[in-house]
Amino acid sequence: MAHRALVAYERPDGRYDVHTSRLGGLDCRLARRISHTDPYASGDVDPEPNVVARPFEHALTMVDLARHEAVYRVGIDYGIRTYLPLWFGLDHYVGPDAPADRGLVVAVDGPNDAARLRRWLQTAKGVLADGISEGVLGMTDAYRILEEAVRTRVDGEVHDPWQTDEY
Amino acid sequence: MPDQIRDDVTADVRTRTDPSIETAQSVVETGLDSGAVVTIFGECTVEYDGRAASTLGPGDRHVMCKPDGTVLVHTDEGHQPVNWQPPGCTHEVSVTDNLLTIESRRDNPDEQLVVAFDAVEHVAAFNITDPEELSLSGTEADLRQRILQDPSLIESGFTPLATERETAAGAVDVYGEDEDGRAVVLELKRRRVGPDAVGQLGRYVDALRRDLHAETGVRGILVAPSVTDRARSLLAERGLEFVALEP
Repeated sequence: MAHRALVAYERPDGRYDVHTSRLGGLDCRLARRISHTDPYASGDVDPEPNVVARPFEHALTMVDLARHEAVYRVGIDYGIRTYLPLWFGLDHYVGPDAPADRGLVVAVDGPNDAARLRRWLQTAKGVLADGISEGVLGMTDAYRILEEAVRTRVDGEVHDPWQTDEY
Repeated sequence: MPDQIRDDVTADVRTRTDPSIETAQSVVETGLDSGAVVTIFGECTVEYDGRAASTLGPGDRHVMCKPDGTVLVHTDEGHQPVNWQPPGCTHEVSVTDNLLTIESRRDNPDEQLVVAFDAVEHVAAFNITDPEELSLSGTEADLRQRILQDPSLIESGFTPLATERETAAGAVDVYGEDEDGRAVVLELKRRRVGPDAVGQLGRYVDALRRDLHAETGVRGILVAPSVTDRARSLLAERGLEFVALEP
Protein backbone atom coordinates (compact mmCIF):
# COMPACT_ATOMS: atom_id res chain seq x y z
CA MET A 1 0.00 0.00 0.00
CA ALA A 2 1.00 3.57 -0.49
CA HIS A 3 4.70 3.91 -1.36
CA ARG A 4 6.28 2.12 1.56
CA ALA A 5 9.98 2.07 2.34
CA LEU A 6 12.43 0.81 4.94
CA VAL A 7 15.10 3.11 6.34
CA ALA A 8 18.17 1.60 8.04
CA TYR A 9 20.11 4.08 10.18
CA GLU A 10 23.67 3.18 11.09
CA ARG A 11 24.48 3.28 14.77
CA PRO A 12 27.88 4.15 16.27
CA ASP A 13 28.50 0.40 16.70
CA GLY A 14 28.13 -0.15 12.91
CA ARG A 15 24.81 -1.97 13.22
CA TYR A 16 21.49 -0.55 12.05
CA ASP A 17 18.12 0.52 13.44
CA VAL A 18 15.37 -0.10 10.89
CA HIS A 19 12.41 2.26 10.58
CA THR A 20 9.42 2.24 8.26
CA SER A 21 7.96 4.94 6.02
CA ARG A 22 4.53 4.91 4.40
CA LEU A 23 5.28 7.26 1.51
CA GLY A 24 9.08 7.30 1.44
CA GLY A 25 9.26 4.91 -1.51
CA LEU A 26 7.90 7.55 -3.88
CA ASP A 27 10.58 8.75 -6.29
CA CYS A 28 13.40 7.88 -3.87
CA ARG A 29 12.40 11.04 -2.02
CA LEU A 30 13.98 10.17 1.32
CA ALA A 31 17.48 10.24 -0.20
CA ARG A 32 16.98 14.00 -0.52
CA ARG A 33 14.96 14.61 2.59
CA ILE A 34 16.81 12.77 5.37
CA SER A 35 19.61 14.80 6.95
CA HIS A 36 21.27 15.05 10.33
CA THR A 37 19.08 18.07 11.09
CA ASP A 38 15.92 16.24 9.99
CA PRO A 39 16.66 12.54 10.39
CA TYR A 40 13.02 11.45 10.04
CA ALA A 41 12.23 13.74 7.09
CA SER A 42 9.61 15.83 8.88
CA GLY A 43 7.54 12.81 9.81
CA ASP A 44 7.89 10.83 6.58
CA VAL A 45 9.80 8.19 8.55
CA ASP A 46 8.25 6.63 11.66
CA PRO A 47 10.59 7.75 14.45
CA GLU A 48 9.96 4.50 16.34
CA PRO A 49 12.35 1.83 15.07
CA ASN A 50 10.91 -1.44 13.91
CA VAL A 51 14.02 -3.33 14.97
CA VAL A 52 17.27 -2.12 16.51
CA ALA A 53 20.94 -3.03 16.32
CA ARG A 54 20.91 -5.44 13.38
CA PRO A 55 23.49 -5.95 10.65
CA PHE A 56 22.40 -4.34 7.38
CA GLU A 57 21.85 -7.76 5.77
CA HIS A 58 19.20 -8.48 8.40
CA ALA A 59 17.44 -5.26 7.39
CA LEU A 60 17.31 -6.61 3.85
CA THR A 61 15.48 -9.72 5.04
CA MET A 62 12.74 -7.40 6.32
CA VAL A 63 12.03 -6.21 2.79
CA ASP A 64 8.68 -7.28 1.37
CA LEU A 65 9.62 -7.21 -2.29
CA ALA A 66 6.02 -6.70 -3.44
CA ARG A 67 5.30 -3.97 -0.93
CA HIS A 68 8.40 -1.91 -0.34
CA GLU A 69 9.40 0.50 -3.09
CA ALA A 70 12.73 1.59 -1.63
CA VAL A 71 15.29 0.81 1.05
CA TYR A 72 17.57 3.53 2.36
CA ARG A 73 20.86 2.88 4.12
CA VAL A 74 21.75 5.97 6.15
CA GLY A 75 25.38 6.09 7.26
CA ILE A 76 26.51 7.50 10.58
CA ASP A 77 27.58 10.64 8.63
CA TYR A 78 24.15 10.76 6.95
CA GLY A 79 25.50 9.64 3.62
CA ILE A 80 22.54 7.82 2.06
CA ARG A 81 22.52 4.82 -0.27
CA THR A 82 19.23 4.01 -2.03
CA TYR A 83 18.13 0.50 -2.96
CA LEU A 84 15.28 -0.63 -5.17
CA PRO A 85 13.46 -3.88 -4.38
CA LEU A 86 12.73 -5.73 -7.63
CA TRP A 87 9.76 -8.06 -7.15
CA PHE A 88 9.81 -11.05 -9.51
CA GLY A 89 6.31 -12.22 -8.51
CA LEU A 90 4.22 -13.33 -11.51
CA ASP A 91 1.19 -14.73 -9.70
CA HIS A 92 -1.01 -11.79 -10.72
CA TYR A 93 -0.20 -12.58 -14.36
CA VAL A 94 -0.24 -16.33 -14.47
CA GLY A 95 -2.08 -17.51 -11.36
CA PRO A 96 -1.37 -18.63 -7.83
CA ASP A 97 1.10 -21.38 -8.78
CA ALA A 98 3.80 -18.77 -9.37
CA PRO A 99 6.01 -18.12 -6.30
CA ALA A 100 5.24 -14.65 -4.97
CA ASP A 101 8.30 -13.91 -2.86
CA ARG A 102 11.15 -13.97 -5.36
CA GLY A 103 13.29 -10.98 -6.28
CA LEU A 104 16.45 -8.96 -5.73
CA VAL A 105 17.38 -5.68 -4.08
CA VAL A 106 19.70 -3.44 -6.11
CA ALA A 107 21.48 -0.16 -5.46
CA VAL A 108 20.29 2.76 -7.60
CA ASP A 109 21.71 6.20 -8.34
CA GLY A 110 18.51 8.15 -7.89
CA PRO A 111 14.87 8.50 -8.90
CA ASN A 112 15.52 8.44 -12.66
CA ASP A 113 17.65 5.31 -12.41
CA ALA A 114 14.99 3.69 -10.20
CA ALA A 115 12.15 4.65 -12.57
CA ARG A 116 14.05 3.22 -15.57
CA LEU A 117 14.73 -0.05 -13.77
CA ARG A 118 11.15 -0.31 -12.56
CA ARG A 119 9.80 0.21 -16.10
CA TRP A 120 12.28 -2.26 -17.52
CA LEU A 121 11.34 -4.90 -14.93
CA GLN A 122 7.65 -4.40 -15.62
CA THR A 123 8.20 -4.91 -19.34
CA ALA A 124 10.41 -7.95 -18.78
CA LYS A 125 7.87 -9.54 -16.44
CA GLY A 126 5.09 -8.91 -18.94
CA VAL A 127 7.03 -10.64 -21.74
CA LEU A 128 7.96 -13.62 -19.54
CA ALA A 129 4.39 -13.92 -18.26
CA ASP A 130 3.19 -14.08 -21.87
CA GLY A 131 5.72 -16.84 -22.51
CA ILE A 132 4.48 -18.81 -19.50
CA SER A 133 0.82 -18.31 -20.45
CA GLU A 134 1.52 -19.49 -23.99
CA GLY A 135 3.29 -22.59 -22.69
CA VAL A 136 6.66 -21.79 -24.27
CA LEU A 137 8.44 -21.00 -21.01
CA GLY A 138 8.55 -22.71 -17.63
CA MET A 139 8.26 -20.86 -14.35
CA THR A 140 11.75 -21.81 -13.22
CA ASP A 141 13.23 -20.63 -16.52
CA ALA A 142 11.41 -17.31 -16.21
CA TYR A 143 12.90 -16.60 -12.78
CA ARG A 144 16.37 -17.62 -13.93
CA ILE A 145 16.11 -15.32 -16.95
CA LEU A 146 14.92 -12.43 -14.79
CA GLU A 147 17.70 -12.86 -12.26
CA GLU A 148 20.39 -13.12 -14.93
CA ALA A 149 18.99 -10.10 -16.75
CA VAL A 150 19.03 -7.99 -13.59
CA ARG A 151 22.57 -9.01 -12.72
CA THR A 152 23.69 -8.20 -16.28
CA ARG A 153 21.92 -4.87 -16.33
CA VAL A 154 22.87 -3.55 -12.89
CA ASP A 155 26.49 -2.45 -12.39
CA GLY A 156 26.36 -1.88 -8.66
CA GLU A 157 25.30 -3.86 -5.61
CA VAL A 158 22.78 -6.65 -6.14
CA HIS A 159 21.43 -8.45 -3.08
CA ASP A 160 19.29 -11.51 -2.78
CA PRO A 161 17.70 -10.84 0.61
CA TRP A 162 17.42 -14.55 1.38
CA GLN A 163 20.92 -15.56 0.31
CA THR A 164 22.63 -14.34 3.45
CA ASP A 165 25.72 -16.39 2.72
CA GLU A 166 26.78 -13.77 0.18
CA TYR A 167 27.68 -11.37 3.02
CA MET B 1 28.23 52.70 -11.66
CA PRO B 2 26.77 52.69 -8.16
CA ASP B 3 25.43 49.38 -6.91
CA GLN B 4 21.91 50.67 -6.44
CA ILE B 5 21.30 51.44 -10.10
CA ARG B 6 21.76 47.77 -10.95
CA ASP B 7 19.81 46.46 -8.01
CA ASP B 8 17.01 44.09 -8.70
CA VAL B 9 14.91 43.52 -5.63
CA THR B 10 11.60 41.68 -5.46
CA ALA B 11 9.95 39.84 -2.61
CA ASP B 12 11.79 36.65 -3.60
CA VAL B 13 14.96 37.89 -5.30
CA ARG B 14 17.72 40.26 -4.26
CA THR B 15 20.64 40.72 -6.65
CA ARG B 16 23.63 43.01 -7.08
CA THR B 17 25.86 43.24 -10.14
CA ASP B 18 29.47 44.42 -9.60
CA PRO B 19 28.86 44.98 -5.88
CA SER B 20 31.49 46.19 -3.46
CA ILE B 21 32.82 43.45 -1.21
CA GLU B 22 30.84 44.90 1.71
CA THR B 23 27.58 44.96 -0.30
CA ALA B 24 28.17 41.40 -1.42
CA GLN B 25 28.76 40.40 2.21
CA SER B 26 25.46 42.04 3.18
CA VAL B 27 23.48 40.19 0.47
CA VAL B 28 25.08 36.86 1.37
CA GLU B 29 24.63 37.30 5.11
CA THR B 30 21.03 38.46 5.00
CA GLY B 31 20.23 35.81 2.40
CA LEU B 32 21.66 32.97 4.46
CA ASP B 33 20.04 34.31 7.64
CA SER B 34 16.64 34.35 5.93
CA GLY B 35 16.94 30.81 4.55
CA ALA B 36 17.47 31.90 0.94
CA VAL B 37 19.54 30.17 -1.74
CA VAL B 38 22.56 32.42 -2.28
CA THR B 39 24.75 32.48 -5.39
CA ILE B 40 28.02 34.37 -5.87
CA PHE B 41 29.98 34.72 -9.11
CA GLY B 42 33.51 36.11 -9.23
CA GLU B 43 37.21 35.36 -8.96
CA CYS B 44 37.98 33.22 -5.95
CA THR B 45 40.23 30.62 -4.43
CA VAL B 46 38.89 27.44 -2.82
CA GLU B 47 40.56 25.58 0.04
CA TYR B 48 39.28 22.25 1.30
CA ASP B 49 40.57 20.52 4.40
CA GLY B 50 39.08 17.32 5.76
CA ARG B 51 39.38 13.71 4.67
CA ALA B 52 41.89 15.05 2.15
CA ALA B 53 43.15 18.56 1.41
CA SER B 54 42.97 20.52 -1.81
CA THR B 55 43.45 24.02 -3.13
CA LEU B 56 41.99 25.66 -6.20
CA GLY B 57 43.97 28.72 -7.31
CA PRO B 58 42.33 31.97 -8.43
CA GLY B 59 39.66 31.59 -11.10
CA ASP B 60 36.09 32.56 -12.01
CA ARG B 61 33.59 30.36 -10.20
CA HIS B 62 29.91 30.26 -9.45
CA VAL B 63 29.21 29.34 -5.83
CA MET B 64 25.81 28.31 -4.51
CA CYS B 65 24.95 28.14 -0.79
CA LYS B 66 21.68 26.41 0.12
CA PRO B 67 19.75 26.88 3.34
CA ASP B 68 20.22 23.19 4.24
CA GLY B 69 23.99 23.81 4.47
CA THR B 70 24.94 22.55 1.00
CA VAL B 71 27.70 24.47 -0.81
CA LEU B 72 28.45 23.91 -4.52
CA VAL B 73 31.41 25.42 -6.39
CA HIS B 74 30.98 25.36 -10.17
CA THR B 75 33.24 26.24 -13.07
CA ASP B 76 32.12 26.45 -16.70
CA GLU B 77 32.49 22.70 -17.21
CA GLY B 78 30.51 19.60 -16.32
CA HIS B 79 27.44 19.05 -14.24
CA GLN B 80 29.36 18.19 -11.10
CA PRO B 81 30.73 20.95 -8.88
CA VAL B 82 34.52 21.14 -8.60
CA ASN B 83 34.09 21.26 -4.87
CA TRP B 84 31.16 20.99 -2.49
CA GLN B 85 29.91 20.46 1.01
CA PRO B 86 26.86 18.27 1.79
CA PRO B 87 23.70 19.32 3.63
CA GLY B 88 24.14 19.96 7.33
CA CYS B 89 27.19 22.25 7.14
CA THR B 90 27.29 25.66 8.79
CA HIS B 91 28.21 28.79 6.83
CA GLU B 92 30.27 31.75 8.09
CA VAL B 93 30.63 34.92 6.02
CA SER B 94 33.34 37.52 6.68
CA VAL B 95 35.48 40.16 5.00
CA THR B 96 39.19 40.08 5.75
CA ASP B 97 41.94 41.83 3.78
CA ASN B 98 39.23 42.95 1.33
CA LEU B 99 38.38 39.31 0.53
CA LEU B 100 34.79 38.06 0.86
CA THR B 101 35.19 34.72 2.59
CA ILE B 102 32.57 31.97 2.80
CA GLU B 103 33.58 29.30 5.29
CA SER B 104 31.61 26.07 5.39
CA ARG B 105 32.24 23.68 8.26
CA ARG B 106 31.14 20.15 8.99
CA ASP B 107 31.82 18.47 12.33
CA ASN B 108 31.46 14.77 11.55
CA PRO B 109 33.71 14.12 9.74
CA ASP B 110 35.66 17.31 10.44
CA GLU B 111 35.72 19.16 7.12
CA GLN B 112 36.15 22.76 6.12
CA LEU B 113 35.68 24.51 2.79
CA VAL B 114 36.83 28.12 2.44
CA VAL B 115 35.97 30.16 -0.64
CA ALA B 116 37.66 33.57 -0.79
CA PHE B 117 36.54 36.10 -3.43
CA ASP B 118 38.80 39.01 -4.27
CA ALA B 119 36.20 40.34 -6.71
CA VAL B 120 32.49 39.66 -6.87
CA GLU B 121 30.78 40.29 -10.21
CA HIS B 122 27.32 39.14 -9.21
CA VAL B 123 25.60 38.12 -6.03
CA ALA B 124 21.99 37.01 -5.54
CA ALA B 125 19.68 35.68 -2.85
CA PHE B 126 16.58 33.73 -3.90
CA ASN B 127 13.73 32.86 -1.59
CA ILE B 128 12.68 29.57 -3.12
CA THR B 129 9.37 27.86 -2.53
CA ASP B 130 9.00 24.56 -4.30
CA PRO B 131 5.31 23.74 -4.60
CA GLU B 132 6.02 20.17 -5.68
CA GLU B 133 8.01 19.48 -2.54
CA LEU B 134 5.32 21.11 -0.42
CA SER B 135 2.65 19.00 -2.04
CA LEU B 136 4.61 15.83 -1.30
CA SER B 137 5.32 16.61 2.33
CA GLY B 138 2.88 16.98 5.11
CA THR B 139 -0.20 14.94 5.71
CA GLU B 140 -2.65 17.68 4.78
CA ALA B 141 -1.90 17.04 1.11
CA ASP B 142 -2.01 13.28 1.54
CA LEU B 143 -4.31 11.40 -0.78
CA ARG B 144 -5.40 9.25 2.14
CA GLN B 145 -6.43 12.30 4.17
CA ARG B 146 -8.49 13.57 1.28
CA ILE B 147 -10.31 10.27 0.98
CA LEU B 148 -10.97 10.09 4.71
CA GLN B 149 -12.38 13.62 4.64
CA ASP B 150 -14.46 12.98 1.52
CA PRO B 151 -15.10 9.23 1.05
CA SER B 152 -17.42 9.95 -1.89
CA LEU B 153 -14.23 10.56 -3.93
CA ILE B 154 -14.12 6.74 -4.09
CA GLU B 155 -17.83 6.16 -4.59
CA SER B 156 -21.14 7.13 -3.13
CA GLY B 157 -21.83 5.23 0.09
CA PHE B 158 -18.20 4.28 0.81
CA THR B 159 -17.40 4.41 4.54
CA PRO B 160 -13.77 4.23 5.71
CA LEU B 161 -13.43 2.11 8.85
CA ALA B 162 -9.69 1.89 9.47
CA THR B 163 -6.29 2.91 8.21
CA GLU B 164 -3.28 0.62 8.48
CA ARG B 165 -5.49 -2.42 9.05
CA GLU B 166 -3.17 -5.39 9.41
CA THR B 167 -3.55 -8.39 7.13
CA ALA B 168 -1.35 -11.40 6.50
CA ALA B 169 -0.07 -9.53 3.42
CA GLY B 170 0.78 -6.35 5.36
CA ALA B 171 -1.11 -3.27 6.54
CA VAL B 172 -3.66 -1.85 4.10
CA ASP B 173 -3.92 1.86 3.62
CA VAL B 174 -7.68 2.26 3.87
CA TYR B 175 -10.18 -0.41 4.83
CA GLY B 176 -13.90 0.27 4.72
CA GLU B 177 -17.34 -0.79 3.60
CA ASP B 178 -19.45 -0.02 0.59
CA GLU B 179 -23.11 0.90 0.81
CA ASP B 180 -24.07 -2.79 0.68
CA GLY B 181 -21.85 -3.57 3.67
CA ARG B 182 -19.15 -5.35 1.66
CA ALA B 183 -15.54 -4.99 2.84
CA VAL B 184 -13.45 -2.68 0.63
CA VAL B 185 -9.65 -2.42 0.44
CA LEU B 186 -8.11 0.68 -1.13
CA GLU B 187 -4.62 0.60 -2.63
CA LEU B 188 -3.41 4.22 -2.95
CA LYS B 189 -0.70 5.27 -5.39
CA ARG B 190 0.43 8.76 -6.32
CA ARG B 191 1.77 7.86 -9.74
CA ARG B 192 0.61 5.94 -12.81
CA VAL B 193 0.73 2.29 -11.90
CA GLY B 194 1.40 -0.96 -13.69
CA PRO B 195 0.51 -4.61 -13.17
CA ASP B 196 2.54 -5.03 -9.96
CA ALA B 197 0.20 -2.66 -8.11
CA VAL B 198 -2.64 -4.95 -9.20
CA GLY B 199 -0.64 -7.85 -7.78
CA GLN B 200 -0.24 -6.05 -4.45
CA LEU B 201 -3.92 -5.22 -4.26
CA GLY B 202 -4.80 -8.82 -5.07
CA ARG B 203 -2.64 -10.03 -2.18
CA TYR B 204 -4.45 -7.77 0.28
CA VAL B 205 -7.86 -8.82 -1.00
CA ASP B 206 -6.94 -12.51 -0.80
CA ALA B 207 -5.56 -12.07 2.74
CA LEU B 208 -8.69 -10.25 3.89
CA ARG B 209 -10.96 -12.86 2.35
CA ARG B 210 -9.13 -15.47 4.42
CA ASP B 211 -9.27 -13.27 7.56
CA LEU B 212 -12.95 -12.52 7.16
CA HIS B 213 -13.92 -15.96 5.83
CA ALA B 214 -15.59 -14.04 3.00
CA GLU B 215 -15.08 -15.87 -0.27
CA THR B 216 -16.51 -13.18 -2.51
CA GLY B 217 -17.41 -10.27 -0.25
CA VAL B 218 -14.17 -8.29 -0.40
CA ARG B 219 -13.71 -5.62 -3.05
CA GLY B 220 -10.31 -4.24 -4.00
CA ILE B 221 -10.00 -0.76 -5.49
CA LEU B 222 -6.80 0.67 -6.93
CA VAL B 223 -6.69 4.46 -6.50
CA ALA B 224 -4.09 6.25 -8.64
CA PRO B 225 -3.82 9.03 -11.24
CA SER B 226 -3.87 6.42 -14.05
CA VAL B 227 -3.06 2.79 -14.88
CA THR B 228 -1.29 1.12 -17.78
CA ASP B 229 -3.36 -0.86 -20.30
CA ARG B 230 -1.97 -4.14 -19.03
CA ALA B 231 -2.79 -3.22 -15.44
CA ARG B 232 -6.32 -2.35 -16.51
CA SER B 233 -6.82 -5.73 -18.15
CA LEU B 234 -5.34 -7.55 -15.12
CA LEU B 235 -7.71 -5.61 -12.85
CA ALA B 236 -10.61 -6.83 -14.95
CA GLU B 237 -9.34 -10.42 -14.95
CA ARG B 238 -8.98 -10.39 -11.18
CA GLY B 239 -12.33 -8.70 -10.56
CA LEU B 240 -10.63 -5.65 -9.06
CA GLU B 241 -11.53 -2.00 -9.66
CA PHE B 242 -9.86 1.32 -10.41
CA VAL B 243 -10.67 4.88 -9.35
CA ALA B 244 -8.70 7.71 -11.00
CA LEU B 245 -7.64 10.30 -8.44
CA GLU B 246 -4.80 12.81 -8.70
CA PRO B 247 -2.64 13.13 -5.57
